[in-house]
Amino acid sequence: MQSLVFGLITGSLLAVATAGFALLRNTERFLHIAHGQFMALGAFLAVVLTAQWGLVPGVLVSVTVVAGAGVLCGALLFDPVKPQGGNVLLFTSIGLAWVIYALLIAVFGTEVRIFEVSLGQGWDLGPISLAPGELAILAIAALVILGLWLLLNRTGLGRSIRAVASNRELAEVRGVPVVRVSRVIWALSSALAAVAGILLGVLGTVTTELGWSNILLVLAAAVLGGTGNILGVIAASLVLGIVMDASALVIDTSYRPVVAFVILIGVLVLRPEGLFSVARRREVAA
Amino acid sequence: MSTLPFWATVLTFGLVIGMAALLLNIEAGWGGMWDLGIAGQVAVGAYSYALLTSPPDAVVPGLGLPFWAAMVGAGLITMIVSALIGWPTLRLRGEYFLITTFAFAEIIRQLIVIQRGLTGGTFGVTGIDKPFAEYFLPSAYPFILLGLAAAATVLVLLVSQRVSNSTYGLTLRAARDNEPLARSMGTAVDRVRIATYALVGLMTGLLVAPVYVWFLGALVPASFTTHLTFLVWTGLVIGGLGSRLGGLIGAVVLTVASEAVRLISVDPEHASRLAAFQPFLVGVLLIVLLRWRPEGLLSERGAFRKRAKPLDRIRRDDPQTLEAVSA
Amino acid sequence: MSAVLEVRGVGKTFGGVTALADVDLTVSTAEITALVGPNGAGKTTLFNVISGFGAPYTGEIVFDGVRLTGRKAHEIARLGLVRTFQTPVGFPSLTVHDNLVVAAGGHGFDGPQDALLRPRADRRGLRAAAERADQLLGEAGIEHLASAYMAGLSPGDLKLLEIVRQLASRPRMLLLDEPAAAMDVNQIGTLSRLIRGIAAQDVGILVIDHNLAFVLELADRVHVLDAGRLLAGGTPEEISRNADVRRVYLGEEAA
Repeated sequence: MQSLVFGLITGSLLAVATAGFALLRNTERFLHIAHGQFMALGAFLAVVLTAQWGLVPGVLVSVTVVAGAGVLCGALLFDPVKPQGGNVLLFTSIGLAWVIYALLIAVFGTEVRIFEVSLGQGWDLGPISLAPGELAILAIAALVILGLWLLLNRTGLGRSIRAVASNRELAEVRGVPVVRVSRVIWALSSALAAVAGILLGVLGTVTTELGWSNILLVLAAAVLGGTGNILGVIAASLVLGIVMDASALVIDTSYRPVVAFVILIGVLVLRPEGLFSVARRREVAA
Repeated sequence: MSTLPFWATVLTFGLVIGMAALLLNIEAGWGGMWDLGIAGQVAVGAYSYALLTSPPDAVVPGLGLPFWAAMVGAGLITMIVSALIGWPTLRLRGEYFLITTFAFAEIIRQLIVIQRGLTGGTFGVTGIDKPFAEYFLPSAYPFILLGLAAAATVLVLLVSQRVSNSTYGLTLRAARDNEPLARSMGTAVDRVRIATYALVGLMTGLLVAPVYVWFLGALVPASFTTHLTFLVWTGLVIGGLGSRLGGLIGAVVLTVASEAVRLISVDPEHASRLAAFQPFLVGVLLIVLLRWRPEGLLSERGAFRKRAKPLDRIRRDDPQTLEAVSA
Repeated sequence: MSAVLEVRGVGKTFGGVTALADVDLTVSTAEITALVGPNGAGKTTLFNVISGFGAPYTGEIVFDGVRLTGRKAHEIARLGLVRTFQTPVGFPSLTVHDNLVVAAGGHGFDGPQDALLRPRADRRGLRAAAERADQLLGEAGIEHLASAYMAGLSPGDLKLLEIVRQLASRPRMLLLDEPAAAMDVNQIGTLSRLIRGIAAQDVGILVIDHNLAFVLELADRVHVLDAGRLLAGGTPEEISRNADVRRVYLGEEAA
């Protein structure tokens, strides 16, 4: 039971991070490896800023700064190479990941940092124990996801985003302001990364490796969730989180990430026809 | 400190990355298999080599084989592991292949950390058997190692050249360009790709990993992170994906440039800034090159500029003459 | 002249939608067989099924006495049954010459073993394939394109090369997928002569096209496919007189 709760927390944080990653993947059509570094950037900024300005202002400013950085990177680094296709975008993102990683090391150093907030004393609720801070993290993650879902499904902006995701050219023809929508997506995606990074940092520690150690889990959840609905990504994140933490009951906890990647590879191998590959192969063979 | 041994060591590392980049070029440049699992293959080769040479009574016990037998063994083990990984993953296309190789490399690294009994875990394997080390002074050994690395590089280069001039190399590039068409010409694309992956594994275990082990002197999992994979990729992208020599040149330039900063003496307070320089350089070079010179320093077209065949050798008496067309 | 390809009762469905139903078809060498039908009639589906890109299907396909069911695309190609593609991109980043060399090398090009362990034999094979490529380019009158990159060719040259390239492997039978699409009248004339020349070498030919005029002019036998079913079959004269064909294919409802 306890591991189910931990799994739920892990999964919901993963869901916040992956939702941002999936937004970019579905609209700009590439794997944004630097997403993990945006998480780390958010966490580092928040550690420093919350210590100076208090929890809420610090977090808000950090998320805003990371969102702005995302928009800038999208406009200055990614848009110019977009015509060269997904692989060039992917490797540009890898390049950006190294740059951010290097800057984090140069500015913040390599020592481990922690947030100056306490999760509080654990409450014993029957078979499980839950600290108020953990509950708050879970609630924030749920609220962020709910907010994103409402934004995507209940607003005009969300309709535009979904239109760009399903068919960019058609959306452009129908008068959707694609460039503006793309900027909003970069802001949203980066903000989600920052929120996930901060929550992860509050729950554990903040190190310069935070980005690299999480990006593969994000990739796994995004791939398992598919490219269709944001709900698929959320479900995949929760399943991955719960399975990873539940596996600790059977095998050593150090196998947690291995379990996640084995699931990823298993699913890919059993269902090798990814959405993109089918479409492309048909196109050439037809 | 004399800087000559330092440069010999830097160059040795450059050749290690250069060899890996030449092999990656066969796989990704010509074969179109964009592999993010290089670090995993190198790790399998490196630990195989270390465990085959390590004496049975060491902290991390091994078989105590001589270095050359261990190189062959590491090559075979890495080849088998690569083929086993390649068999399910090579059916995947594009980004799914990329993610799966990435995940495999990470699984391998995690397993190395977890399987302390076999690999020494994060503490690592020390007491690496370096070939001919007993005949030379420690101060001279960096130059011996550089010589060994150069010899290994020549071997990898020969294999890469042979591939580029062979029917196999041509088929590999054709299947990359248009897979259904290659199939419709009788090419068993899946088999060609798995064989390519196995070849890269064999060469990695046989040459790249052992030289890397000698260069490192001790094995820890931190030497096999994604950083290694991306260093190789950046070297190849700088040099030119698909060219014959680009990977080697790009990798040497990249490593020499990023290691040169170690010569700058700084007080320990700023040590982290120095540590950040290499990832920073790798990242900036990737972004800049992809934007302004995506074909790299050398290009595939330059590498395969046609030595046009003279047409006078045509036999006009062939039975399948298409006389109808000449009209 | 003998039957080289027999398609017996072939059917295929995509997720409940019938693409092909009970298609029977025989192709003989030394004559040109054509399959016409409007877009979406199932022509390309039948091609994919025959050439091993469309498994699984029901029914039976026999080529030169060998059952093709369950065989992979490259195995079928090695038997000598070779197809072209509607989009004639070839191998874009290779030269025209290398495109033909790949085709001429055929099934010898299998893996790194030969390249590394028997370099001399490998070089010989490559040289033979290169000579075959030179010869075909010469015969097609396009030597000047030898060192051009496929990606830079005109649509007409690409279309021509799509066929010339597949001849390099000396096939027993060619499946031509819309060879005349996007060609002008002059090019179509050249193309017809090329295809007749190939058939005269005892190579079986099955052409699919939706251009009825081109097909009636070129083929010896014509089959008409509509909504996955064979509607009619016969000589071009019989087909052009067939009322069903006129109604369904030409849309002459009131005729």
